[in-house]
Amino acid sequence: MSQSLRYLISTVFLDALKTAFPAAPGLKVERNPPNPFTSRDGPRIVFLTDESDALKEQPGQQAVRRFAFSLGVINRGSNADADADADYATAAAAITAAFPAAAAALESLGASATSPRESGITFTVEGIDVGGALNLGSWDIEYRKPKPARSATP
Amino acid sequence: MPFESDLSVFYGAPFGIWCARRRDGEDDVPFQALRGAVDELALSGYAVAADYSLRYPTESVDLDEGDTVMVEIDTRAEKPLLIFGEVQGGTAYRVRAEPRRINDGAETQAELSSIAT
Repeated sequence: MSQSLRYLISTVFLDALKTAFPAAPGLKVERNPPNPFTSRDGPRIVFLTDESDALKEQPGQQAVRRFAFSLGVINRGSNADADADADYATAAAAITAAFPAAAAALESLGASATSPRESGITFTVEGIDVGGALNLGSWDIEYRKPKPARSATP
Repeated sequence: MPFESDLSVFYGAPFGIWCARRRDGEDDVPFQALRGAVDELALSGYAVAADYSLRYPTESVDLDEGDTVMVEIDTRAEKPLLIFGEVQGGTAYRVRAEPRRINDGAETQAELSSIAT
C-alpha cells in the first residue's frame, strides 16, 4: 500500500521533530493525537495534526494542492509559558529545516513542493496542573503532484 | 444554634478534610474544607486536566489569590498538629484565582493549582 504525498510530507516533518526532541522522560512527540493529552503523557508534548489537503489549481491536469497542518506544543510545568515558547521555536525550526528532505522525497516521486509557511500562532495559558501553556501554529505547504501518465493513443 | 448556621455539620468529619493556609512570616491557619477534583478539557481541547477546588466556610479562613494551601495535613486526635506554627504533612496547592463566595456567602470556593515539588 502506498501512502499519499501528504502523508509522506507529514512523516518527514514528524521525523524531524523526533530528531529535534530526542526521547526523554516526560517528553512526547506525536502525530494526529486521537485523544486530549493527560498528565500521564508527561509535561512536555510536541504534536503535528493534519488539518486539510485541498486542490488549489490544476494547470495541464497537474494538480497543485495545499496541505495544511498544525504544529502544537504543550507544557504543563511551573514555567509553562516560557518553556512552551522555547519548545515551539525549536519545533518550528525543525519543520523549516526539514523542507529539503521533504522536497527530495517528493522529487523522487516526480512531485515537488514549496517551502512550508507558518501563517499564525495562537497562545493559551491556563492554570492547570502546575501550570499549562499551548502554542499552536497553523502551517501549510503547497505541493505539485506528478504529471499524469499519458494514455496511449489509438 | 440554628442548623443552617452550624456549617461544621457539613465540613467536619467525616466529610471535610483538614487543610491549612500558609503565608510567609505567618503561622499556618488550619481549616476544614470539602475537596473537589474534576477532569476538564483544557488548552483549547488538546489536554485534560484535573480542576482542583476547595469549598469551605467563609469565616474559617481568609484565602487570597497566590496563597499556598496545604491539603490533607496530618492530624492527631482529629485536630491539626502545629509545630512552630507550621502544620505537618499535606500536599501543597496554590490558589489560582480570587476565591468566590457561594450560596448566601457563608461558604467560599477556591480554585487550586498544584505546586511543583
